[in-house]
Amino acid sequence: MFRKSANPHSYYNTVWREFCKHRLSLLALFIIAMLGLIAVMAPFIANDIPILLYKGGKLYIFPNIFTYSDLQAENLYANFDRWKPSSGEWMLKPPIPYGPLNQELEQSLQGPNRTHWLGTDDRGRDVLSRMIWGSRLSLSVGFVAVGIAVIIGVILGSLSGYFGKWVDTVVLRFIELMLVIPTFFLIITVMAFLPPSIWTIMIVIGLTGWPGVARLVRGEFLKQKQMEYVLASRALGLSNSRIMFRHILPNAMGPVFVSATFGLAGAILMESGLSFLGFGVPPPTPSWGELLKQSQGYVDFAWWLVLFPGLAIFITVTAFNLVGEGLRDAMDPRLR
Amino acid sequence: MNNHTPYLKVDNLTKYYPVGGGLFAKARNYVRAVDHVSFNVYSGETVSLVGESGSGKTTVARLILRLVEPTDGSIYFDGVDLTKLNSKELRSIRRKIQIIFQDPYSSLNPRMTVYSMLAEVLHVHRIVPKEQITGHIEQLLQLVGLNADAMYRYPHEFSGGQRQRIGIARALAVNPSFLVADEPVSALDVSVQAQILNLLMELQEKLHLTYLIISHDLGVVRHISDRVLVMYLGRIVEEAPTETLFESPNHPYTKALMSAIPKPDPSASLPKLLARGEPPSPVNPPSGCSFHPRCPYATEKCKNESPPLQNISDTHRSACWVFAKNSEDKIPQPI
Repeated sequence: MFRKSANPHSYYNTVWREFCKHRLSLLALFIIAMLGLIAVMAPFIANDIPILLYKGGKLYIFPNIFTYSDLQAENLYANFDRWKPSSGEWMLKPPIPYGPLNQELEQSLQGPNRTHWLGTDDRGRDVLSRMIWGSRLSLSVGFVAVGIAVIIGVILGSLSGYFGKWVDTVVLRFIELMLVIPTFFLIITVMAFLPPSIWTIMIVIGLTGWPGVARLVRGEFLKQKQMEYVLASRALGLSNSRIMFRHILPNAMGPVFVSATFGLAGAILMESGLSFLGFGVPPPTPSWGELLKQSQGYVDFAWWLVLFPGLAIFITVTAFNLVGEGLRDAMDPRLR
Repeated sequence: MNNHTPYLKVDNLTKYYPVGGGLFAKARNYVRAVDHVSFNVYSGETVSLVGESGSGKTTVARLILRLVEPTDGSIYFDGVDLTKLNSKELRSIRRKIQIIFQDPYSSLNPRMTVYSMLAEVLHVHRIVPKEQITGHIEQLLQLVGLNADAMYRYPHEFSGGQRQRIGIARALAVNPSFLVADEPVSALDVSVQAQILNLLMELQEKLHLTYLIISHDLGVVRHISDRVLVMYLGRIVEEAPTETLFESPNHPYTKALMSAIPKPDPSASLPKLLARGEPPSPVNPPSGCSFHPRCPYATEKCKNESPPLQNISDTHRSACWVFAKNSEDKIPQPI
């Protein structure tokens, strides 16, 4: 019903052009895109289960993502790391042919070498494979947690800014209440009582991350509410929800995107911190923080266990922060 | 035109904004933005509301549209008291009264095309069936002098004058009979101002509209209005047909305004500065007549008693202790 025209001067096109002027932010965006790609493609990059398998006169396509019942019956899925094709059979393994959970105890604590590029841990698991699978977890924690925070923050912030009066007072007090509690310790306390799972972490980080977003959205709503286009919409008898979400919100989302980018970095760091302290994902699931935690006992000689996961966290968090900064500058008309 | 029953009757309309105070603390003081304002607008006429910045003109406009809730008073539109309507009844009234805004840059949503803006209004108020929306928008745009291909563009692609036309089209989308224009041309170039004013007058004739025009530009007011209301510090100080007001203003404030109109004659003597000083704060308005500290004719009575609007003739009313009762021959000299 509402047709959109492709417009070279539209707001987001301008922002994109401005963003491209920041080389470093662009590089950071590229790194994040690559990380995202690696996370999504993890079963094709680091896995002991083959991509293609020719066995018993039958070709199995992508057994790494589809479960074939006859392979399942042979209990092959749990044993691909030890399975060898006999004559006439073949398989195509991913470039890093180790699953994140495959243990080879005789290979434990090896430094980076030709077979294990980033070394192995105390149980002989491939560090690179665990890091690649860990990126899935760390990134999804970031996105889901920030998604939850943004949804709550946008709803409460819009209500507060649009309706003002007692709604505003209640929401503001609630925000202040959340801000005075040190988030990290609140999360640790809550995690101590809840069953450790990836979903609890996402939800708990999300539920504590909204006050910043809410304040931002509230401020934008206060500003936009005074604009004549909002008055015109009210004079035209449009409903409050339509004015809030169809008219004001699109104009108020810019700063939210910026803060969400920073929030992503924060959430990833938060998850790593929690896992490092043992309140995160239960082992053996790999997450970057979990990898760091496992390295605790071997820091003095197995440097690769600390360096690579730490570097991954550092690069990812820095990249998100750089993108956030670039986005903030690109959206700020005073800097043009 | 029926001159006896007003189309819009504003009665004792008052809006005080609290200053200071909070959730539990009482407001310490009030800004008297609109202070017991009463006037009538008859069907088919153009009434202008003039006054300097901060005199409460815009607040009156927003009160009539119920964009701001009044502190006191009533607004009767076609016999219905707008201040007592619930939100559902208000929606049907909104199809009859519409408003045009001052700033063509902030009055259009920058993220919506002209089409989605207008289609939304037509859709929400079910003005035309869905399949006729595009055709209807085309007609609306033609009505305000824009091409149909303006439909799919965003506000920032238009000039100020074109944007104001879009704002007018949006107001007309619901087929209103009463249009409040809040400084409709003051943000535009002079050449464009005339075009928009002519468009407004054309539309009035075509669609039988009644206008309440808020302005501080006396040239504009003289050009388009039938009657003029002069506001000062939240009150109406003079009300007269346009020609009467410009030929023989009664209230000293109106005279001061008139003398401030720039004359296109370089040899004309400089205007007399009839009003001294700055307008006082509406938080603590002066006692008595609120104009008395700036008025060259002020008497003791002006300082203590607030003057009511008094009839000078059937159509001319003025709120002044000195002039409103005096006949022409006894005009006092400025002090």
